[in-house]
Amino acid sequence: MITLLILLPLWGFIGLCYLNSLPPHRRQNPCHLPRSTPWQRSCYIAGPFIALALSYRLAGLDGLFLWGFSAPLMGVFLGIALPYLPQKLMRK
Amino acid sequence: MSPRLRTILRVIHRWVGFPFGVFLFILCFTGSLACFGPEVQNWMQPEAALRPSSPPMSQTGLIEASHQLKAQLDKGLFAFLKLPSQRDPVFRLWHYDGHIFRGPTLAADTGLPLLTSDVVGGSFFTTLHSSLYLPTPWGQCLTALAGLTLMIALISGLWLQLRRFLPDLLLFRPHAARHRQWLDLHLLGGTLSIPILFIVGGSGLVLQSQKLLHFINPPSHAARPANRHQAHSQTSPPISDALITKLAQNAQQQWGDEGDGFFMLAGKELALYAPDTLHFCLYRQAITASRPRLPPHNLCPTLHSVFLGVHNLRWAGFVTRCLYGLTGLLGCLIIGSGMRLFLQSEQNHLCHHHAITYSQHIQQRLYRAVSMATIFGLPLATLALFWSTRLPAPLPPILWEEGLFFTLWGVSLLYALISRHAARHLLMMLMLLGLGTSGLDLATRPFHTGRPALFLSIDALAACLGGACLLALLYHPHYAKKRAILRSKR
Repeated sequence: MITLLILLPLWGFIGLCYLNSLPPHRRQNPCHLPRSTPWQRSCYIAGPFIALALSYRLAGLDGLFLWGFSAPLMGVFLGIALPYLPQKLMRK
Repeated sequence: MSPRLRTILRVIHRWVGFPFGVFLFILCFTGSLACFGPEVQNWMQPEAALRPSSPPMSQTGLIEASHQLKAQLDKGLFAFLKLPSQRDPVFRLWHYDGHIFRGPTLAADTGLPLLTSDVVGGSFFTTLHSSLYLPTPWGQCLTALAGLTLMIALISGLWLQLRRFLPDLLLFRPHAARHRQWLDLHLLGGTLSIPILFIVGGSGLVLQSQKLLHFINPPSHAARPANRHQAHSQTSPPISDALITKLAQNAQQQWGDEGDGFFMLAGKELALYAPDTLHFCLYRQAITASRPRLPPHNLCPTLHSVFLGVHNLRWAGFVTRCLYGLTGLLGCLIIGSGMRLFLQSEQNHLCHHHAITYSQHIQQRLYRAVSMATIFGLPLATLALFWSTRLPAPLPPILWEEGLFFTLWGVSLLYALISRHAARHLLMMLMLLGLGTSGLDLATRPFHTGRPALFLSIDALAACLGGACLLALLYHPHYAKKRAILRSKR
């Protein structure tokens, strides 16, 4: 449970960093948050690997599967929830 | 990608995805429920979940339960005794009836039969998942074929979306046109869960193919003990209290907790099999009076056991299993949205024709009815099955429950064929059954139970389904139109 509680916000953070890194011509997506920085970019590239190592360290084999299952579920949740956020929270 | 290749891939994705999507939806839905087989069994038999999970069993209970096992074996019934565990805290004296496991439930502390009615239980969904309740090998053939088409649909879908895979990974536009919304939802779920679908679908395909290969070319086990069908014809072996106690003690020493293991005949003697939850790789290992210690072997002795471990996930913890179940439901969402897109595009295609022929009209209605019966009919039949286990049965319970499930499912298909408002009516029934499950549960079981979380979570799931149907009804074009008329009148 603790592993999942760590993994879910981590996947959420990785998802947000990924969305920010999209180039301007791809910004049809209503889910955009403030502009990306190089630090954010390295976070979303390294994030999944850190999450994988962390989940294996915390829960062993169970953790690997938790890592695998939590990613799409968090991604779908993020994809569906973000467009419903109030517009003032999104910068164009 | 050339336009020609794109067209070919689209045709493959659509025409492989839709017909087999029906089976894949069933597999995903029943697979999700099969993850929680013991919990479903306990919900259907609330008398078995009146006491908390621990302590799992007593020595007296074990001895008494073994006497019951001996009585069953003496009758010539090939029964086995499943030991209590955290997930299912009672003895199960089960036998396989060709489709499901059934038999008396015994109390963990006394070993005496509990006053439970016979129900289809969690193994119903496992059987539906593995063979679609069809006779061998047809069910396995169909499931394997569905697994193969899943791979084809995944590869063609991935190829089609390859260029926009990363840029549109989290893209969902809820304010766009309805067709676009469904496409975004299909792509959002599909692209994010593609690795999981490959692993789970691929392992399922391999397991079913192996079953089929074994059916075509049965393996020879000259060195192994006689199988259960041979044992069935023999007289039952002596089962003494001392033997049972010794086997249980040996099991405790070797694999820590004997819970979830089971006593079953292995050739001429009684064996205590290790629980499936013991290792990642599912491999049957047992101790007997003549072989009190497990032979040393690799953690994953065969490739088959690895695939079983990956696909069944019996070793996994509760949270992982919950996420596995949710991933199965996500699979249902992907397939359901795909079916919706297929119907919409077929309808759009017909709109370009000046005159629609009768056969085209029938074809369109058939596609629609099959989709309705799959997406709404299957959950409806499942909820009805849950209800039927708690309400008085006019026929022998299992016959009644199975009959009700398949009849309701069939009726939903027929109704969708003849009625234009089938979707709305099926949604309404789903909503009523889903939202009413909590009330039924509270009315048909003792209020105080040892496992309130179990009942609460299943009731909550049914209520969520009912709530989702209510929302879908509120946004249904029929009611939206009525609301608009009312608003304009005001």
